[in-house]
Amino acid sequence: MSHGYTAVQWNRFKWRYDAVVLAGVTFFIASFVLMTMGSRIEGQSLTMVQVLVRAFGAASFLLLNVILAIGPLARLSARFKPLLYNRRHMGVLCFLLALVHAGLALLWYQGFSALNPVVALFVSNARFTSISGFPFESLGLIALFLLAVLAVSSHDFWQAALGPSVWKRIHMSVYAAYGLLVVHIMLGVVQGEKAGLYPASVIGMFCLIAGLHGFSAFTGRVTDRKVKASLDGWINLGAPQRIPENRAKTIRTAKGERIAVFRYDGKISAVTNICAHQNGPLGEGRIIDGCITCPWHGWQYRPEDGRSPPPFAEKISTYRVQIDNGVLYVHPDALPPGTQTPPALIETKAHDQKK
Amino acid sequence: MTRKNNFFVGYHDRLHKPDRRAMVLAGGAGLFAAALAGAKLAVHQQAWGSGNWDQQKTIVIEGVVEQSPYPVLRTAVLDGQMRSVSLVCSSKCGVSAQLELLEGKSVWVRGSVIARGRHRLLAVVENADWIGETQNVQNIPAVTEDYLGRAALSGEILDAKCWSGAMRPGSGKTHKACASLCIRMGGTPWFLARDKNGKRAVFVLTGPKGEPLREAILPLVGEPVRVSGRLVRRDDLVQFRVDPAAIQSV
Repeated sequence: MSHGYTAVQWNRFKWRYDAVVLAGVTFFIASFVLMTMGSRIEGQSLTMVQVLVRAFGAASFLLLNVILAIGPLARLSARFKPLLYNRRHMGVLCFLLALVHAGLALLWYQGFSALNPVVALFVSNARFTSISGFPFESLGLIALFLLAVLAVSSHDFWQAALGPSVWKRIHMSVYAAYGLLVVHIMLGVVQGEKAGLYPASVIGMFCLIAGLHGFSAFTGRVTDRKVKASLDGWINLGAPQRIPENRAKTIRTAKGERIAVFRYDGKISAVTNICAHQNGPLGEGRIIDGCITCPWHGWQYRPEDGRSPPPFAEKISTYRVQIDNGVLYVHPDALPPGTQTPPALIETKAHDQKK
Repeated sequence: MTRKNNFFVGYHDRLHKPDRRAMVLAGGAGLFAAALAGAKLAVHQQAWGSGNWDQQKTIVIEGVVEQSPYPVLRTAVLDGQMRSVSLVCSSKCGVSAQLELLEGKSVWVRGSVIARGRHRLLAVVENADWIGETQNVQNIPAVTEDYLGRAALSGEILDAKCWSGAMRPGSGKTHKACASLCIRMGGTPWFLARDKNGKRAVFVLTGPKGEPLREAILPLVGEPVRVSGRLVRRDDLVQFRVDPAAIQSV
């Protein structure tokens, strides 16, 4: 779990996951290359480099769409949550594919002259004010740089070194890279392709990704209304039995902070909804082996003090809870991460015991 | 275990049966979709264009060198007909500088043929023994020049070598920077004209007096443009003589 112990914990699921992703990319590139070379007219000079430039570029963009679709899909249905694991491996693969695409394109189209290929790229076309002539390659280069930063910093070492919120902010730049790539493709290969499939595919994928994120955010907002505290400062959450066993109810305070209130073993504890790993929604997790378990990557915290079980050292904020006359209350002020907080005990009624 | 209680934790390596089934289905569908997408995108690509360049096959041809506006070898060796074969570099450079001393002389040239339609180019290998004077060339008639009239044409400025077979695609947006670099470094600019019915014709693009064009046209290379000018047939090549300032992006 923590970066301090095992950097990458491989198991059968992860091996299979990566194998399927690699196979998918291989299938895509192989079918693209075979079909292109197969449709070549005899005697025409079409080199493999030119076909690979397209194949790797298209594979990288398609993979980025898959990566971006997984997040909202996992929020909309728990079925997709296993796909969140190893998503960063897909990200690194996406960058490597883009790197091959850029390298081959730069070598082939800007190489073989007295000028340095990178210099040649920028002096060859400076029509930044024109749509039909816009140097779309520059957008691809910026996106490649962003993908490189994301790939390098995807390791847990950087997450621990930078802290989760800075790390998360850096990794939100994947959306900037995606936007740049959409424009890169629309102003590049799509301008030269007459078939409607190319623009339709790019626009369709963009709409799908935007729609999934929008729908996911909308459904999240509907179930994420702010809860007001009463005059004495405590938030009334009603009967604690309404929270499913080993699950949580997530609330949002007037300040906008999200609190995950867990029910387990006849007790109630409250912690921040934000996982210390990648800001995952702890409230969508569950209690496993007595620990709150994040749905994104399985990081665990003890509900009473918000600390990861030894030997791990992560800490999250806890909140005070109490049950008065069968009503559960949570205090909206966060306690420092790792603060021991007594859980509220759920009274078991006599007739419940008889059952 | 009910669906409600299913909760996947990656490091536990336990995938509940319904989730396992869903993942297997998703994986299979993903692989199928990847192969299908690759094939679909490949099939729907615009045609890469005709033209051929076999770099491994070099030949030696003889003729008379003419340097302006762009280097050509006037020869009847290739197919018995008088032709102006454009001389180009195998990489992105020009051969003009090397031809100054041989202007109008009979020479032999070694290179590989680039062919598209009726057009022929000879790509020479720099830093090699590729040209020399010869006495064997005979019966090369004087240059003929006919004025064909004025024309307003829509099309694209491209690099002769790229379009004829060196690059795929050798025209259009994805090739714009490459064509611009080639022309900047000494390549021969051609004008690919297209009419409303899709008919195409290729002309050698020159200045108003038949002089070479280079820096002035670079920004508009590889873009749809429109320009008026004079058409002049010079041997078997037709020059499109234009004022570069009058070239308009469409």
